[in-house]
Formats: sequence, C-alpha cells, structure tokens
Amino acid sequence: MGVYANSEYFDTIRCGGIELRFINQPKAMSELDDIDELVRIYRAKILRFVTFSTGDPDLAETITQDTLLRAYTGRKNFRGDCSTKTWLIGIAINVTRDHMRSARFKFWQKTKESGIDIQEMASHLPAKGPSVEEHMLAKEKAKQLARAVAVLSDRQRTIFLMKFSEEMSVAEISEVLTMPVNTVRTHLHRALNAVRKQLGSALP
Amino acid sequence: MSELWTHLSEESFNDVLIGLASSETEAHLIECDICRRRLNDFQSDLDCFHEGSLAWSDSRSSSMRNIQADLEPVRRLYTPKYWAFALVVLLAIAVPLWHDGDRFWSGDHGAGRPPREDSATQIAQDNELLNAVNMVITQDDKSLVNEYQILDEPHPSLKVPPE
Repeated sequence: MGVYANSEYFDTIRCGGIELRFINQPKAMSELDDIDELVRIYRAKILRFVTFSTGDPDLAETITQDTLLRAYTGRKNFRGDCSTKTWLIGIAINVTRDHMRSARFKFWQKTKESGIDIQEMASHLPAKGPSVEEHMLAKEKAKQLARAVAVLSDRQRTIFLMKFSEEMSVAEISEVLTMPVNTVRTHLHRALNAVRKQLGSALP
Repeated sequence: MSELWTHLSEESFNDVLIGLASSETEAHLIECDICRRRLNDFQSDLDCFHEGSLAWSDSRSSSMRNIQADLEPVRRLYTPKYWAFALVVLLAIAVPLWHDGDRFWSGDHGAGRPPREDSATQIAQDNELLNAVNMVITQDDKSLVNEYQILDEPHPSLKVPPE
C-alpha cells in the first residue's frame, strides 16, 4: 500500500520504507504565463496590500498594474522557490518603495492624511451573522482595525499586512524583506501591541 | 510562575497570533476560557478587516483598466513585422552612408558638384562683367548731359553779363 501526498510542487509516494518524489509541472508557472489568470487571481489582493501600505488608493492602482506587468514580463526570472503570491508581494514592495522615494510623493504624504475611505471599505463587508446588529458590529470592527493599522509606522504596517492580510508566514516575510526572523517577530510584536492598544483590547 | 496558572502575557499572546506559540502557551489556551475568548475576539477583528478590505479591493479591481492594453506596446516590439520594419529603416539609413561615406564625413552634402576654385579664367570673366557694367553706367551719364543740354559755353540766347 502506498501513501500519496500532494503539494503544490511535488507528488510524493511512500510505499513501505521507500519514498518517491515527483516534481510537478509547477502550477505557479502556468499562472504567470496567463496574464488574465494572473489578474483574476491576484490583482485584488495586491491592490489591497498596496492600498493599506501606502494609504493612497489612486497610487495603489498604479503600483498594482506596474507590479503585475513586471511580474508577467519578468516571469522567466521566477525560480519557483516561493509561492506566486509571495513573489508578487515582493515585487509590489519594491515598486512601492520606488514610488515612495520620489520627492513628490514625500511632499504629498506630509500634506494629506490617509486617502482611504474606511467607511466605504467597511460597507463592502459581507453580511456576518443573522442579525443587522451583528453586521453593524462587524463593520465597526473593520473600521477600527483599519484606523489602527493606518497609524503604524511604514515598516510595521507593511509587516502587519503581510502577516495578517496576506497570511504569509514569518519565514516568508523574512525572506521577502531580507530581514532576520527575529527582527520580523519584533516588528510584529510592536505592531500588534499598538493595534490592540488602539482597539482597547490590550491588557490593563 | 508557570503560564498555566496565570493568563497569557502580551508577548505570549502575540506569539500565538504570529504562529510562534510555545507548547506551554498552547496548552494554556486549551485550559483557559478567558485567554481563548480574548484571542478569538481579536481574531474576529482581524477577520472583519480581512474580508471587508478584500471585498472592497475586489470591487475596485473589477473597475480598473484592462492590463492587456498596457501589454500591447510591449508585445508589438517583439512581432516579426516590427523587426522587419526596423531593419528596412536601418538599411535605408546605413546604405547611403556606407556608399557616400567619405564625402559625408568630409562635410560635403552636395550632389556631386566639384568644389569651387578661383581660376584665372574666372577672374577674367568677372572683370569683363564689371567693365560692361561700368560702360553702361558711364553711357547713362553722357545721355543725361545731352538730354538737358548742359554745355560749358553759354547758350546763344542768353545775354552775357557785363564784366
């Protein structure tokens, strides 16, 4: 009898004491080869990440399109050693950094507050629970958390979003940001403390 | 004091959220309703933000410009037609340059005319032309004298004033 295990990259068959591993035609490569598929699966996620990282919805759309274009035209550079989403997030971070270095962006960032319409964001929350009150409460929670994330430092906000919005592991975050795991952990701790303090759910 | 007998510290709580909880912490969560409820409450807040922001982003993404339009100029660069056109343009520039290269680089942009030289013949021709012009001008002067009868001697009809 054999035990068959499947992952995104490998098919593994164990039979007795023997383990045979077959390398799949990577699913990640087929996604990257089809621009429509790439957009369909990842554009909304990249857009969300960049929007809340920069606080500028219009700029986020530009960065998102640039990110997907760069990923598609540079797909031959994808080594397959991480998930497609992780790779895309890494590209998005680089593109965002390029934009944020511009003097014009720095000027506008000083003069205006976050451009995200949190009310509009919360209104898109799917209905939660059977009652209207529960749905209202859920929307309020979403708004509070969005406000709490907005006041984090740039680095803390990026790492917080990578962990809790994009559901990346600490190891993946560490690799994308080329940062030691302990440093990532420290930033996450600080971000979580700040967010929970804002939400009023910190320990007294 | 063991964590099993107190509630989770901030650090331990954060480690649970990050996914780096120790076995002791996990064991405490199984036992402690208060910590587990606190964890679930915060997780619920995160889920609300996660779902609301993704739904919002989905609606914005569906109204964004089609990315295919941005790809077309890039794709056009790699079509055989484009490369053929580029080759023709290159040849149209390069062949005349190669054919007339010496003349081009020496600064002569004319259509094969020889450079002008100031020869003796040319100078004689110029002088002849100038003399002809001078004669015409001089003849005009004489005709004016004749026209208005301007003479050195007084006209017979005029009386000569006494000296």
